[in-house]
Amino acid sequence: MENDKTASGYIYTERNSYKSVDSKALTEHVKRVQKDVVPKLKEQGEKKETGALRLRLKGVT
Amino acid sequence: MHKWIAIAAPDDYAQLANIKELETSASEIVDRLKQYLSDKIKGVLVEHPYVDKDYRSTYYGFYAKKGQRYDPFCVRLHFFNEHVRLTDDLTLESASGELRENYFGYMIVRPTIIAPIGRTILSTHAVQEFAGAIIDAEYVVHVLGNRLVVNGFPFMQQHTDISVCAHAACWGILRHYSVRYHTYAERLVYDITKMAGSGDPGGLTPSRGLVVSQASQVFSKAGLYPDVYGRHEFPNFERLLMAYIESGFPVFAAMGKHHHAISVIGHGPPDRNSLKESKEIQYAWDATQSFYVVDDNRMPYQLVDGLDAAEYKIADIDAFIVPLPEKIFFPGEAVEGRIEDLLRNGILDLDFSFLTTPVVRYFVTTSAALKHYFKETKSQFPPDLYVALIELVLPQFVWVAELANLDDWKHKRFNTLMIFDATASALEPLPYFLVMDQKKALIFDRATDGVGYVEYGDAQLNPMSEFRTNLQSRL
Repeated sequence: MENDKTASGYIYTERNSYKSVDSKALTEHVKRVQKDVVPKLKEQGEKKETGALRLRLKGVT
Repeated sequence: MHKWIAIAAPDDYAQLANIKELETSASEIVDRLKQYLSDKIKGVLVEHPYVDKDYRSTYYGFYAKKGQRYDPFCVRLHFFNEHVRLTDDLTLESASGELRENYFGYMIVRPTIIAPIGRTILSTHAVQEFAGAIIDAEYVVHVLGNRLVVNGFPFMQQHTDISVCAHAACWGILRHYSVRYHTYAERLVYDITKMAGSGDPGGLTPSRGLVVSQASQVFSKAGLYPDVYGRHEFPNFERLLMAYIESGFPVFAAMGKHHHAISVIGHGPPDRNSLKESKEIQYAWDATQSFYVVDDNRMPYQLVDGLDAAEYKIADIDAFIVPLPEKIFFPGEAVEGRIEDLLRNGILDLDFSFLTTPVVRYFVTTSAALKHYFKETKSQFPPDLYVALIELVLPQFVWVAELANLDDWKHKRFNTLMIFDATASALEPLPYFLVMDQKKALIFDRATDGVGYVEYGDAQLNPMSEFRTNLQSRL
């Protein structure tokens, strides 16, 4: 298999004990994660601190 | 002055009231010791005068400026088991084993009019009915020429004037970091009050309380990287809290209803028979449902669960701050999201169908601790996989996910492992070092941009033993 960087940014390792991966399948995986997983994480990150930072704490005995 | 008080029964703690320096505080202290300490404690060494650095910081910065006279000295109480006695010539003698093995820690009593309990480090063995795992560090204690050590997590009451609950929680977490990791400087109580202040409206008596953002600012100023989670924004709020606790990072927890802050520093024992046979993903947290906390209004190592019977319950925690070391950029929610995505949608041709009743546990650890685990449990890995793992170039911190079938999880084992780069960006599509099934492992050699499979061949992948070195565990 051709040993160049795929859209994932990875190349096949040169280590002898490793077997190569299907670069097209890895690229498809990256595309799916960017579409299905990343937007949700981005949204969670953006609202992470909403409200929480304003809680007032004194808890006097 | 050093005085020995023998404890045959809890009522013997009342003898502390006979010590002049404890006259005003004895009733509160005696009640707490009677109620919380285990019957393993058979002797209390009373040490006075004791110069306590934390109290002195507030004395120099605050109490010495008041019209009321405050004593600059404290009392320190040391707790021992039945093997130790104090001789007339002030020698601590151990009848069995080393003195340090028979020591349970100490409590400082401040000469303040209210809230007298100062810096306290207790072993979990000193506390009644402790069962669980806590984040701890080793504290060195010098008394009567002896060098003793105690493992625990710092506790003190808030002063109510110069510090409130949120300061006490910040102080405990920062003291833990400074003792456990030499990278972090020691911050005294008065330092923390100053670090949280912004203009100090009404003078330097922060009894109006702190807001969460000020507590976050204290951690930032101390060189940590706080991340804030609100319950409403994260349906998996408790699981995330559990993941950070299992990572060894103490957490500052805020309860809006109670206007109160505590430190979450451990978890109770999981009920391994409580999970269902289900093909849906379950988490170790689902079987745990309890945290150990340090609450300045109470005593160290309080178990908090979901029950209404307690003063408060886990559902009362509205937000938490996890002060992280540098180089942890990949957040817990991203780890959980990726695990669930991998199990549902897979990656390349890895096959996770063997996980018919998946139970997940995930946490951060250091690459050094993880490689030590690999070395110590070498025989449980197929040879080619072991070589790949031990040779893999890792950053200082990694996220680890243990995935088990329910039956193996009940026996403290897991069936497959995922390793995530804690220095990856949250939105990175391939934040992995390792994703594996039962026949092969997909290795992302991020240091060289290389990716490849390691196949196990004829070697069988047996269930692996849980990684349990982040916390002091009595499970």
